[in-house]
Amino acid sequence: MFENTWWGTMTRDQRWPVVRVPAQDIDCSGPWLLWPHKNDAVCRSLAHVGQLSPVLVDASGPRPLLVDGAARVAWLSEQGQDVYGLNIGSCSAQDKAMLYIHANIHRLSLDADKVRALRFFAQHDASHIDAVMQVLGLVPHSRPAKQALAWLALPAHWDTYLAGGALPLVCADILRLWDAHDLQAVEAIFQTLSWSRGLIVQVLTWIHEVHVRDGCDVAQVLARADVMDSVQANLSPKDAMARIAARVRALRYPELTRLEQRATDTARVLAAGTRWRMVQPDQFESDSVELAARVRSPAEVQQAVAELVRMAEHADWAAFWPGKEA
Amino acid sequence: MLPEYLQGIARVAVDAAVSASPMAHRVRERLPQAQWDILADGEHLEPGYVQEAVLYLKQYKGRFVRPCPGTSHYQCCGYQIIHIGENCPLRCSYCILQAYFQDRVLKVWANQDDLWQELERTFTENSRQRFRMGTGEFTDSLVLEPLTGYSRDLVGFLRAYPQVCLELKSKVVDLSWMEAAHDPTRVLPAWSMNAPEISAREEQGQCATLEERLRAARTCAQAGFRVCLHFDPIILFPGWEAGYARTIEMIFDYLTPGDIAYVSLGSFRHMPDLKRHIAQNFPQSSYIYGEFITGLDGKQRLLRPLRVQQFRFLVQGLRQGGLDRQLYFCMESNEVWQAVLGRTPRDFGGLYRYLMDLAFEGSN
Repeated sequence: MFENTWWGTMTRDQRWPVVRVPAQDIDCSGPWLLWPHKNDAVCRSLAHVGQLSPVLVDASGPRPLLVDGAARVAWLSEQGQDVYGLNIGSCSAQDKAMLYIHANIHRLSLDADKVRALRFFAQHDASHIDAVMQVLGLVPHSRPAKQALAWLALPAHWDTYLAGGALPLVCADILRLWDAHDLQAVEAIFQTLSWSRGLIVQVLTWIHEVHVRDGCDVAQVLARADVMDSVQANLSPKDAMARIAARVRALRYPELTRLEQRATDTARVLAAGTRWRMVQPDQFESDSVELAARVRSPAEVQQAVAELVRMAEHADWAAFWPGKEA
Repeated sequence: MLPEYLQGIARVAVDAAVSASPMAHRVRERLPQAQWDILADGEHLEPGYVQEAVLYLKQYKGRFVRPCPGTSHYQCCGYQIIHIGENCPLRCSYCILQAYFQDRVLKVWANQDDLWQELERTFTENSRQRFRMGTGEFTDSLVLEPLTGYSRDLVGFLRAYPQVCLELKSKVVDLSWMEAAHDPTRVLPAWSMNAPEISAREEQGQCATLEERLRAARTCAQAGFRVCLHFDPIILFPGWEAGYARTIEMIFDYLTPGDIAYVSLGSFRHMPDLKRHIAQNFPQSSYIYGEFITGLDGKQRLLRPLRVQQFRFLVQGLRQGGLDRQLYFCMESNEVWQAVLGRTPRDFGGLYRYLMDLAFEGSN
């Protein structure tokens, strides 16, 4: 039906006939129904004013196939009512999917939805991927487009992590570089923990960089960082994620972690019992140490100064200047 | 006979304004098989060409002479760049040019008369000033020499300006410019040095081997030139001590300390974006996953104690070979200078002045 039109003007001059069919008769199992979310607002609207816009069906066969309008058909079916639809006639699954995308383009916002659509076309006819990406608002060769295509290289069940918010699309930049064994090894860290977008990207980046740097597989990296211990320990999710992140970072930056730990320990000793806080502000790139104190009166200023004088006599200051050791 | 890395140039694009220039004639003569496209005034080279396929002879309208783009917080050597073109056909994984320019098309500024005028004006207006200049910042100084003869032209032009010392920084061997140099004290041929493993793995695309570079350096030294060596970027990798020790040993197999004007040491550092380019273009280059932190200038730098450790190792080896005064750091902090060399540029009147003195030390 749409053969010569991929996908320029196929529907522009179409005058599809309206059909009225019992909602329960419609086959709603088509794989082109890409984002069939239940929609309470649609249900309330149907209950209040009835069906205002037609669904799309292919009524060329013995049983009408739903092409768009799953939420409306589901609710009307529950009510035992008829559905008004436009009969688009017989066409391929890809054409149906494209019509579905166009009909739902206004509510397309999630990366997971775009990936689901791309995966459908990748499985049915990859030659149309570029055209589909344009309809989805993905500019070919842009970073989001590359990430969406990279995601398709992951096993299909990983789409649920994307849809559930466990992983952002940007992780595809890293995950696409891993083999099935590596992917399987890392799944545990987001199956049970709900990471913030920034932190999971950071943790995966560190894991990947250790994996490449040390020439070991991802499972070995996770084992060296005792990640599974943290996942399985009786910790709150927040503490578990913080511990995993800290351990992976320590593996990625061992010397920096050692210096930070020493600086923290030294600051704790030097400033013990005082109001002073001490930090090394620039990852040991300079010899600077920052000291800060909060005071609320001239008397507290005097006290802070006295504390600082006592601190200055401490022998442990040298530990702050690693560039001068060795 | 052109080197192999230049034989792949299948197309030359040339701005109409410079299509009759001596540079254009020379390139046409040396690349007779290449397609020759003249770009009208205002017409741009269409994007998307791979760097090896196209050479662009351009009418450059910007400033040819500019200071080296040093950053704040670190000690810059203050040398002046003579801008003769952009990009390089060699494939060094760590090359900043991957991230620095929007495309990788080889460009040569073919309006040499404009360059000569600007240089003449600069030297005339500052006739009592000495200049330490070089062309190896935005391209390799010699990599296109068989095609363009640019360095030879420049060396010849600068004969009239004894207040200029020109450094030609390269990873290839082309000594054709030597004939144009009447005073060997005014030209400093320079080669990049690295550990043999880094040179073999990370300097792809027909760079000369370390031995070939050092052999060329010795040829220059025998002809009265002093040479410069640049350990930059120094890279942390498993076995780096043995690698850099071997290179230092090689240096003294070919050169004496007196042959060397100066040696720079620079740890691998980069704009944040370069890491992405390296990971993409050179996926085997795992050194980018070292312990880099954001330096005071916003660039990524190896954690300071690790830099200091490497610098101390190299400096010790170079000192044992008789080099000391000639050693300096490229873009390092006073803390690192003090920790490794026991002095900072302030102790000898500033790095700019110090290197100027070293550059002109061989003057009669």
